[in-house]
Amino acid sequence: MARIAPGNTPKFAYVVLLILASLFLYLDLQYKTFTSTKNVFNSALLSSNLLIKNILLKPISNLYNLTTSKNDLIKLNRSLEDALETIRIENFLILNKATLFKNNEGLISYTESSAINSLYEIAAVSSFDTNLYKCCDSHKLFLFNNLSPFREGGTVINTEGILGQISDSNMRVSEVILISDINHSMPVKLNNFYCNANGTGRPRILECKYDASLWPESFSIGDSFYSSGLGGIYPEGILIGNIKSIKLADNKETILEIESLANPLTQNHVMVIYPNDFK
Amino acid sequence: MTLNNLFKIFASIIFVNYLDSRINVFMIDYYLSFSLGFLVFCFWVFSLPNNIYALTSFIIGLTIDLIAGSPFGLNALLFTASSFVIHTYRYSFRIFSFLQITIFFALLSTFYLGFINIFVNTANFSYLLIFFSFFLNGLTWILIYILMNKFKKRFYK
Repeated sequence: MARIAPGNTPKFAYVVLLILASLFLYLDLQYKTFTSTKNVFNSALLSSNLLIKNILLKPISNLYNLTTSKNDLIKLNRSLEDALETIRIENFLILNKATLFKNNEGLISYTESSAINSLYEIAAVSSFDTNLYKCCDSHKLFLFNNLSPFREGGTVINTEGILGQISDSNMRVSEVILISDINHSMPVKLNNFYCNANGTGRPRILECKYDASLWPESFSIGDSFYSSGLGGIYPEGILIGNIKSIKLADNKETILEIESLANPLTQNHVMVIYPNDFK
Repeated sequence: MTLNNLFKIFASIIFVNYLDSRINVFMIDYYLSFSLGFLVFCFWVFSLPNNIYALTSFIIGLTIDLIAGSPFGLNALLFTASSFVIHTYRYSFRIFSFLQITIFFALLSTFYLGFINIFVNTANFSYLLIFFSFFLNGLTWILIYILMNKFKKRFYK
């Protein structure tokens, strides 16, 4: 029988470090102890990225653009792209004004109380790990803060609909938990049927579980779900998505898979609103 | 080991790990996932068993945890454990054929991928992804072994 050849591997150090790593892992998963450390590191990384881009890469690319005399056109194109994106988001806000803000008073009071003289805040996406988004349960993106950090609970939308909510902020960046994140849940409705649409960890897919014996509702693929506003975070009546599939779980529960309309991969700008502060 | 060499090892793992995250975005649709960063780490432990021990593995793992945004300590735990396994078998590798070594590292990276997925992708854990990735990472190990040996000969002094 083959035996492991004896070596001089220092077992004690390995045991100590394995225990330490397990402790770190437990603390992070159970109590999120290292979330702020990770966010600080993330914002430092982003800042240094920006610095490198602005100090080193931009002058080089500008020099190249000058020689090819396309600089103005490129700048114009970029600004037009940004303006178009902003207008699209504003358009979404105007179209959904009635549901995003409960009434005109709410809208006016929001305008007056807002520190930034605007109904909303347009924010640029600072980083979005598309690999994590596609492979894993945790779906988060980061926004650059404007003048002040975004408040927790702010609703994040793009031109297609609701993306998620602000879950954490520091001085430079704010973290957004997307509605498809495994730990996210949002109350939705369809006519008189109410349920919590939980994130599944799959891109754009939410899941609604219910007991068919308690809710004798019938659904068909393509039916649209709207936010119910019951959670106190999201405004009521915004179209979230359509039923993609209907499944029966082992415990006789029915699972509705909802594909959200908003895709976080399409745009670099989003809007943060706080509609429920002024209900 | 000099600080310069340690930096080179560190940089190669971080760079390949970054590459990994860029490539996996497209691969995941086909139930495939590379673990390039881990394989490069394994290569360094395998080829420099007297230089990379527990603490280095732990620190590299923690750095990758910070950069990748995975649960803090997950990569540190797996890197340290893998380093221990490689060190335990380091004398046995001398009588292994290259094919056996490839299978060993393909298995190790499959375990790594499996553990990572248990923690970060619990709800959508896919055995298919793990199974396909065994073959993919086996093939990748051959490529990494050849390329990293060239890198080592050229830059590692």
